[in-house]
Amino acid sequence: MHHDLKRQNFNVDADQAADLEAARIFLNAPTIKDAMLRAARLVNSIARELRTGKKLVALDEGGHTVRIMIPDLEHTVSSWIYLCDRPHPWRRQLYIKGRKLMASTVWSDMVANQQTPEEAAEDRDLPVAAVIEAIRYSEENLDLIRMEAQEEKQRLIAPGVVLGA
Amino acid sequence: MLRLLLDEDIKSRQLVRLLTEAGHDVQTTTDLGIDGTSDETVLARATNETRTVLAYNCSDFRALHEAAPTHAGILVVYREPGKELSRPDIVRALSNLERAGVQFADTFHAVNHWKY
Repeated sequence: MHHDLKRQNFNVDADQAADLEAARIFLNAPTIKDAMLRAARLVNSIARELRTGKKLVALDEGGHTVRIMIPDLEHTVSSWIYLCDRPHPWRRQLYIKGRKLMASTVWSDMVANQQTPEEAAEDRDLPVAAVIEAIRYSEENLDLIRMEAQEEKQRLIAPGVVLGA
Repeated sequence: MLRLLLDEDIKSRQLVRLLTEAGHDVQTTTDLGIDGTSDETVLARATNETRTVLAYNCSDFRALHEAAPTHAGILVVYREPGKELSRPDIVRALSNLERAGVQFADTFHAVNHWKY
């Protein structure tokens, strides 16, 4: 099987090198590259769980539950009030909480039908603030939304579904 | 006249109104109390009610169609940023499909190119 390889090339100072080495030891990785890849997978897994609204906790020596805060991840998670992740085989864009409705659908429907956020909210039985958040999310993640639209197109064209121009 | 079940991602007051005004018999996942349920449940319920599903969720319903191709029809609207069909476009595409005599039972159609 052929894989396209992309070279990652960057410099680190002594403290950063020490951090990478510590991560390599913690993760029991043979090389720094392996440690970075394992760390990326670990962070992605935790972030996906946190985006569904779950919290990261541990047990202390006394068996008490202790909440673990990871500032970088908590910031990402808590920035959206009305949006959350939903398990899907390949989609990664966010959904409206409690709905089987992608944030980008709220936004694109509003644009395609020339509605105001208030009209879109009334049309979908959503708070106006949720629509405004869906707009902000969609505008900030347009590349992801475009890529997932292309993925969907390929999945339709492959079995022969006609989409037209 | 089509008997439609609008999936959770496509249903809106405006679309229900436009489709009803166009003479279609429309129900939504909310009407049937199945919001938040799986696509399999939506399709099974539509099949039981002899309703054609109308959804934005194209590839997941396509996979369902391939796994269980006996149903009352699946119509999807493919969406791409900047090229989305408006709700009047969707209603017009359905009318054109119907006028062309397209059979819906056990079939899967993307309605996009029927908007003319």
